[in-house]
Amino acid sequence: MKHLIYIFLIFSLSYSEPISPIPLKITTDNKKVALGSKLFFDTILSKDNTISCATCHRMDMGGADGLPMSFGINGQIGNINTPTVFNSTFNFVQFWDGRAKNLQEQAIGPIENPVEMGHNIDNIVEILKSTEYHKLFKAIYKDGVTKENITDAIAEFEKSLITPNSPFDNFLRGDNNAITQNQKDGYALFKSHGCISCHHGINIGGNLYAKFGVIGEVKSDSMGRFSVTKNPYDKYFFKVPTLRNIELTSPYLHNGQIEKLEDVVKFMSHFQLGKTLTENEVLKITDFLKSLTGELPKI
Amino acid sequence: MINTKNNKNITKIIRFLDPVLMILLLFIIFLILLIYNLTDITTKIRDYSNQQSIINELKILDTDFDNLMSQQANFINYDGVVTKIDQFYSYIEKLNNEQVLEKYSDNLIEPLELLQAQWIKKHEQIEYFKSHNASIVGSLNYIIELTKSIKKKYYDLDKNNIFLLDTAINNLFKIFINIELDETTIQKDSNNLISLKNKYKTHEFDFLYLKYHSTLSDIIRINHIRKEYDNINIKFILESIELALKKEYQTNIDSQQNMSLSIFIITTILFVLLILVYLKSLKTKKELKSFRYAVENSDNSIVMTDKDRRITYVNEAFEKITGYSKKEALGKNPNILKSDQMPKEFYSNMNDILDKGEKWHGEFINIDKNGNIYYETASITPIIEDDKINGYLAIKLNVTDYINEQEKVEFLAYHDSLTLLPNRRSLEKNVNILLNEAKINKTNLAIFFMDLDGFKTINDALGHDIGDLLLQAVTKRFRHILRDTDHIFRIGGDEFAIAIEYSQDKDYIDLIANKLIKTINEPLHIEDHSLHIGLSIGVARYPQDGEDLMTLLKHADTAMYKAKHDGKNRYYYYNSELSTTVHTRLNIEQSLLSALDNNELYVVYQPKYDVKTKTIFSIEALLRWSNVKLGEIEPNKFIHIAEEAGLINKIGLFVFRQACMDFKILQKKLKTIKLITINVSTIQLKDTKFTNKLLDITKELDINPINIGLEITETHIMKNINNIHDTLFKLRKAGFKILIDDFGTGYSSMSYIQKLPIDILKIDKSFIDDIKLDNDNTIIKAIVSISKSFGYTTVAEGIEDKIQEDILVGLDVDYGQGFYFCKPKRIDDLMDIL
Repeated sequence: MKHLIYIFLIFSLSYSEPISPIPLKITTDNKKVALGSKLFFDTILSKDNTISCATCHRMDMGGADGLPMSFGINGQIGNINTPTVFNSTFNFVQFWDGRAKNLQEQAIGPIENPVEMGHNIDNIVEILKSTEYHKLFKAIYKDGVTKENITDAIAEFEKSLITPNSPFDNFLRGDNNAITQNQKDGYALFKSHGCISCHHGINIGGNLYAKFGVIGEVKSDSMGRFSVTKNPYDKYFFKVPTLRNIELTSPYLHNGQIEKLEDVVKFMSHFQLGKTLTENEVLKITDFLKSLTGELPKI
Repeated sequence: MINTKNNKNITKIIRFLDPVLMILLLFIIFLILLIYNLTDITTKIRDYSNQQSIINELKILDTDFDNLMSQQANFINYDGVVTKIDQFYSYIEKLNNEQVLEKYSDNLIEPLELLQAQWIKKHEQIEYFKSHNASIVGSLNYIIELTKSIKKKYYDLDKNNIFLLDTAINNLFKIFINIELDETTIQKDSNNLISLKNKYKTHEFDFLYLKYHSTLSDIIRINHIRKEYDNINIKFILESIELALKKEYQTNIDSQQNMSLSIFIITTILFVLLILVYLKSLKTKKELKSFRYAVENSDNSIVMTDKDRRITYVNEAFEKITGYSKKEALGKNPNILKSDQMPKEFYSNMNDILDKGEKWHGEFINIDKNGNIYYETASITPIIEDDKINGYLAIKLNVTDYINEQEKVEFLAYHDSLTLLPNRRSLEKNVNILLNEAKINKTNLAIFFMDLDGFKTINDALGHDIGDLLLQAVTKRFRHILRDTDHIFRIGGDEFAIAIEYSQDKDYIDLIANKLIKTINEPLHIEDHSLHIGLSIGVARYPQDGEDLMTLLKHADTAMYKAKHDGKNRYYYYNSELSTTVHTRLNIEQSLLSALDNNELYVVYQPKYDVKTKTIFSIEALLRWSNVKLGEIEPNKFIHIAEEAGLINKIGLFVFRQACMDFKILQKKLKTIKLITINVSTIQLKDTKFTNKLLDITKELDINPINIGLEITETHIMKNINNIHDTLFKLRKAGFKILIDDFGTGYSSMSYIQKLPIDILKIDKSFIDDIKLDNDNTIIKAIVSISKSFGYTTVAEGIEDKIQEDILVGLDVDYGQGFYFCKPKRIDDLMDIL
């Protein structure tokens, strides 16, 4: 989080825009990234050896898997849409309900979730010890294969998955020709209509909880934050997701119920803002959203 | 056994616990403690300031959050808020740092836990606020716009409805600005809006209602959140933590500072002690330096070795004496100085004593680096520490000079200092050895007794310095002739002896003796003088002439006497006859004993005559001795022997008697003879009965003492003046005449001459010999003058020619005596002449 402070300070000085560009480089431990990468793509973490982190967080699908709900071991279907792993390091908490405070905590979740990888972290430790992972871990961590070290390596890898140099970022950096006028108009509307109040900051989201369905009732199986705090006030409050690379991460919303980007723009403006946007406005805003796609990590 | 071992260990430990070491150790310990304490204090201060700053940061963040919460529906970039929230968490974690907490008492744990709990609560509220605030950003504006557009669109809205609308919106705003409105009012508004929505059924009214409703609930919710938030007083907790920290820290620091101070004081004291110890050691060092200097510069040679007798230290004196430098000596055994002049037992004895741990004292004969011998007295002490020998200390004194002195003394005891020849002592010692050797080897040994002829004359005439030089020159010549194996000794003033070992026949000895005489006869050039002396040698051989030292010496001496007697400057072998015939003192003495009884002594007479008239006035009786073996022996040879042997009285009386008897006979023949003079020894004069004895004889022979004169040598009178004074007067009283013989050669004292009863002065022959025509003859004149003034008669002795006689006549001498007129003759011969 330290780097966030740094970034925030620097960019808040140079930019007065409510959105900040992603840094072009992020400091990571290369050894840990390599190990974490190996783990991320290794199905050994799942009980039946069919699911790896990358199964749901695909590098070629914007860090998600293009499904409303993802598949776990034994062909089970999950209960919530897979959020993108890209730029996830910039989120203030992890999971839709914020039950993990950082990437390292989050990594345990899917591993032990019975409908996802369905494994036990302690068992995995033992399994990994008997493989070449033992040597690889020993090379980096004094205590070899442990729960902390596994998640630390995975988290370090995930940290490296940033997508800088989106056209909008470049525009923010001063390149006026990085985005089209349409997109600039879209951004202006994004701000004036109040979308910016939740989707802002370095990750264009990911820094607060918001009620799903401010205006009127919206159906949702998941209770969001309530399932963590058990506080009635927290019912249907979810972490605001990032809009970066949004055009790659369909379907949208925590239940993956909306496929098209235009549609989710309409949905949001109705249920979050209580407004009806004109077709033109929707198109412009959608166009703007498309300018948020950055350089995908090369794996 | 075990006990002593334990004791040794204990002593080792005690020695190890040397006070200085202890103080140093303590000093170091306390210094470390001090440093540790100070570092600890520094760390504590740093930690405290860190914690204070953390608390301040927390306070600032808290204020920031307060500011956040007071925002009213503004857009806020929550990235910053997220960052601050994370910071708050990390600060709390820092505060909860276990390492730091350990140092503080449990007082802080509760407040910190409370802080954590309260903060989590606050965080909750902040999250809520974030969510709800984001919700209503722009809502109010949107509602106003909506209301405006509704009013615009639905212009036919009756005033009442507009009023209701406005009221609802206004109330919304009231609630927004926190004016309390009761439930019923809000419900009423809500109902009104619902009825309006139902009435018009447009999506604007729908949206308006929905927006109003959601905004209302959000605002109410936010008000609630704010209230909840305000209830949580973190600042208070922070301040209490701050206070507790401060108090803790203060007491902690105070006690630690006190401890540091006391440690510092102790350290300083120890440091001062160390300095004192150091100063003391400086003093000791100085002392040691002085000692070292003393040892280094001592005249004594000082050597220190380890227990294996390897040299660990030598001083300067050692270097000087032995010639070995310090470097060369270190590590070596002192036996490098060993000369082979000491027996092995000496060294083994010394080592035994030293091994026992006792002191040893003794004398070494050592050699220095260049091989020169030197003598040392040494005192060697073992250095003992804890009953073990650690090494040895030797203090040595170079006594070579002393030894040399001793040797010199030794030398001088056996050598003549002038010629450096061995002396008489040496002769006796060495010749005995030589005799033994000759006995064993069956070789011959010849002893030469040598006397320089004419040496006394030269010595008297030219002085002792010349005489000494002459002796040295003579010695040199002797050595030149002789072999190294011949032994030459100086045994007297001008007497030398040689011992020659030979196995050849006599010719060899002849050769040597001749050579010696020849070389001595060569003129000796001493300073400006060219001196001639002779050499008389007496030779005695072993075994022919004697088998023991004394005999050989005596016989050689006898042979030399003979040589001297027979003309000097020759060598004579000893023969047995010589013992008896040579006029050696012994011989004379022995013969003299029986001379009188054997009628060997006889008297001759020499007349004294008037020099003018040439008439005989008196006769002098002179003693002669004719011995069968020794032949004629002159009175000057045996008289003093007679005196020393105690025979003079007897002999003297014999002469006196004989002379009286003969005088009587002479007087009948020649009437002019008035006086007979007889020589008298002072020994006789010392006899108190002498006068009576003479008178007995004169009575017996019927002679008048007036006609008898007694001649006494001037020098003898003067030497014995006190003893004979009375006798002389007695004699004179008895009528005897007193004559002073050889007058002018002795220590004549005018006062004595005056006091003595003298009748005639006989002027010594030497003056008469000196008479020359062109001489003043002042002495004779003086003597004549004195005689005349005292009324003495003068007789001139030893007139040998006419010239002398004539001059004497001219000098007014009364009488004369000498060969010119008449030689001494026996009575019969004299009678014939007359």
